[in-house]
Amino acid sequence: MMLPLLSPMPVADFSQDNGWIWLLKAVGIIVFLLVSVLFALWFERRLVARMQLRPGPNWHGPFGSLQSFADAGKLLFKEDVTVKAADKVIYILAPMISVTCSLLIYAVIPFGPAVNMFGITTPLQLTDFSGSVLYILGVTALGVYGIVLGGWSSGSTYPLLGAVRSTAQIISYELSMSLALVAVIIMSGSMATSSIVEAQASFWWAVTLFPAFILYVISMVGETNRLPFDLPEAEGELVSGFMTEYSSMKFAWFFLAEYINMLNVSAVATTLFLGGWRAPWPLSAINDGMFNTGWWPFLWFVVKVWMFMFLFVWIRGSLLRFRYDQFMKFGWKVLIPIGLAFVVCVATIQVLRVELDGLDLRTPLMIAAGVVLVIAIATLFLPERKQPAPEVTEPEPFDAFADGYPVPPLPGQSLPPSPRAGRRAAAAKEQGAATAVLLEAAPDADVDEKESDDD
Amino acid sequence: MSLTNYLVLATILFTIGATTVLLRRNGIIVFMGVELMLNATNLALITFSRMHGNLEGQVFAFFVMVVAAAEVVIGLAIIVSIFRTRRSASVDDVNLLRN
Amino acid sequence: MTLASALHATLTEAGTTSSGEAVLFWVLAPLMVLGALGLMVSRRTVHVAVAIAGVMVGLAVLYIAQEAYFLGFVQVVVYTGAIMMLFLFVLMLVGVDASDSLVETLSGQRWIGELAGIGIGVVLISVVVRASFPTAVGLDAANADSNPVGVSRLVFGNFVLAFEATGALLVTAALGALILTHRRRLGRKIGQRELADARVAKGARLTPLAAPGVYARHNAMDVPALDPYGEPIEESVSRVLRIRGQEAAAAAFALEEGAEAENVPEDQWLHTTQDPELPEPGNQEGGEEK
Repeated sequence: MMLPLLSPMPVADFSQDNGWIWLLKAVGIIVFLLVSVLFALWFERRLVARMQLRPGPNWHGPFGSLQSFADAGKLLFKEDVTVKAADKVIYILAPMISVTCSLLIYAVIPFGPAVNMFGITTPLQLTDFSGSVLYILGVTALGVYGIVLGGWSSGSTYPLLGAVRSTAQIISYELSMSLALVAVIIMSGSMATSSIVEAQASFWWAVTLFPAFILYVISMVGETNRLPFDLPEAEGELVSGFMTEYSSMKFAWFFLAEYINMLNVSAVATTLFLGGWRAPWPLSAINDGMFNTGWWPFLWFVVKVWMFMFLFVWIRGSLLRFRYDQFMKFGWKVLIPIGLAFVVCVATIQVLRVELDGLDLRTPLMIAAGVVLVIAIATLFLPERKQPAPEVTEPEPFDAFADGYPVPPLPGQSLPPSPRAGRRAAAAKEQGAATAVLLEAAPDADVDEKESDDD
Repeated sequence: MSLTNYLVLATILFTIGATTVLLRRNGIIVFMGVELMLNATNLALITFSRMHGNLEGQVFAFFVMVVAAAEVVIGLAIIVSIFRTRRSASVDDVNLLRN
Repeated sequence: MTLASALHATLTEAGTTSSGEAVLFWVLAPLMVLGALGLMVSRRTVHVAVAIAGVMVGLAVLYIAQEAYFLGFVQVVVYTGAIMMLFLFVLMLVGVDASDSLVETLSGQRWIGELAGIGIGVVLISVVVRASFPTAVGLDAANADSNPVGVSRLVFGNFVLAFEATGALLVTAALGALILTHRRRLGRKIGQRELADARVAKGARLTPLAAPGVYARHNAMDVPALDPYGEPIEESVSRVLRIRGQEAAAAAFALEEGAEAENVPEDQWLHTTQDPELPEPGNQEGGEEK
């Protein structure tokens, strides 16, 4: 499976582009993003509603699909409040930074291979260069300024807390995200997105670099401030975090940026791990790769992006928010070490591949995988190590009032006998005697007696 | 436009950074002045790299960035720990050893 | 034409830049100098940080224009994304409003500082302007295999020792920062569980505070909520309002002395099923042991 080592230069050829094509693509991307956001609002609300067994928006338009327009209209016409304590310039600047940065990422995302646009052969991609992945990282890093400055400039406590959380979150989770991307860059031998898609012609990196894929998916949820990582805007704790003091159109900017960011990270994940615009396997084999040419790839790309959007909503519908310390621990003690270890493995394999040129790595890798598998199976049959037998201590009598308030017994504990148990037995005995007498007289009364016993 | 303009810009930025270090008394701002000086030198290095047609200037700039990152981490940690004990980020307040 | 090729411009034969690059430079350079001046002038530290972040993005664009693509993006990721973000984080940690004191502790420092600054500027600029530079070559040859590859060949080739050393330096710095900011915990860590237990033992309120008067018949922030017995809950009004004395008087909403809930007219019922055998609300609050 010797993959050819690609040139670091982008594969996509933009030499025929002229100004008009450029403008057309740029406008196309913005239209695509805005329409997707409108759709995403409806999509998310309907889907979450379905997961929570309720109808969701179903009033405006078929299946409530015009709800997003109603929401947008409402936001536009709301009163635009500027808080008195706010730092005016930065207060207005912050949402603009957010939106601008979120719109920039799609510039390097390939929607498809070269197509014919008004007689000009051009890739379905605005631009690409030898540092596209770094560009993506840089723009994401800039986008956070919107959140941080927005939170600070509001001059209020909750937004400030949201901003502080957001900085810490970004500093920690961008590390693991970049580590995941590094693995992809090493294997592809290029930082140009079109070349990375090209490198996945036979295998998607999501399969061969599975740990990196998982790492990226987790960090991308953190990067977009979505549940379970939505600490900067946690409603239950911080009202709305950094956007508490924003209203009307300025709030809408933040909102727009958040959804565009979801689309961004989904598109990056698609491009770097799921083969970008390439058709999924059975389809890609049909008719000599017919589905990988022309405008078809656009469809696969959109489908893959929306798979990730579905994942986002699914996660939101099923997970709870992390506590802040758990969240930090998870980032620094789990994700980053795993990322580092994996990058080292990938780099070793790649060096072996290049140094021992021509060596078929399939056999050693298969052998290694086999050995790991055998060891894994063998461990199943190993007798478990004898745990030192837990000291059998006399279970302490359960004291329901130990902490000063009554608690029910946990499994394995039992309540101490009630002090009234003696009385109860005596009463039962007495009643038993009485029933015996009664039963002889009227057998129908049996049922009633049972009930009074239960009391 | 000749490449000297870039060098002039770099010197202007460097001067502003240096003057900030001399004038301001908030530790964090002083520190940002140092960062600005480092950035200005990077610009000069990159311009020289282009002037001479080899990439070694860029490699130097790269190392400057890495060292700057290390320096910022330590510097900010010092500022935070000073702030914890003295409740101030002003460089004037750190004169305990003088008396 | 790609974004990169639009930005970068190959040098002409005479070693001068293209006019596109000149325009870019003359737009960006004044903005960057203005941003840098903010460092000296601005009173609020966050404004300074934002201005410097702007200058750094401007520098990144200039790097890219000067055919240093890799460094341009690294500049954004490292300087704007990590270093300035760290600055902002520390700013918010140590109190954003910490402003400069205007008291001069060293007499004449301001004048000496300004003079020294101008002196450095004059010396440096005159050196740069008077120096004679060789005709600029440009990086077309060096960047033949793309700029990241060219840089990495040098970093992992001639400079590999320096690279390893900076790696060690970074690890040391990270450890140093950990040690500098680490504080020994003096007592045992009090977790969620212990806090909850202590709260119950103290007899403090277990449930969240009631929202102000929106429960019953009122709908305003300054009106206390009513408990099931019709008594106003004073703590339900925001502490700020209470301190300012802006709350509506709680007494106005209490049931009259001796009035039984049953006697309250039907339209004023707060809680329809009141069990007369329940203990008094005061006992339930449990705050009386203190």
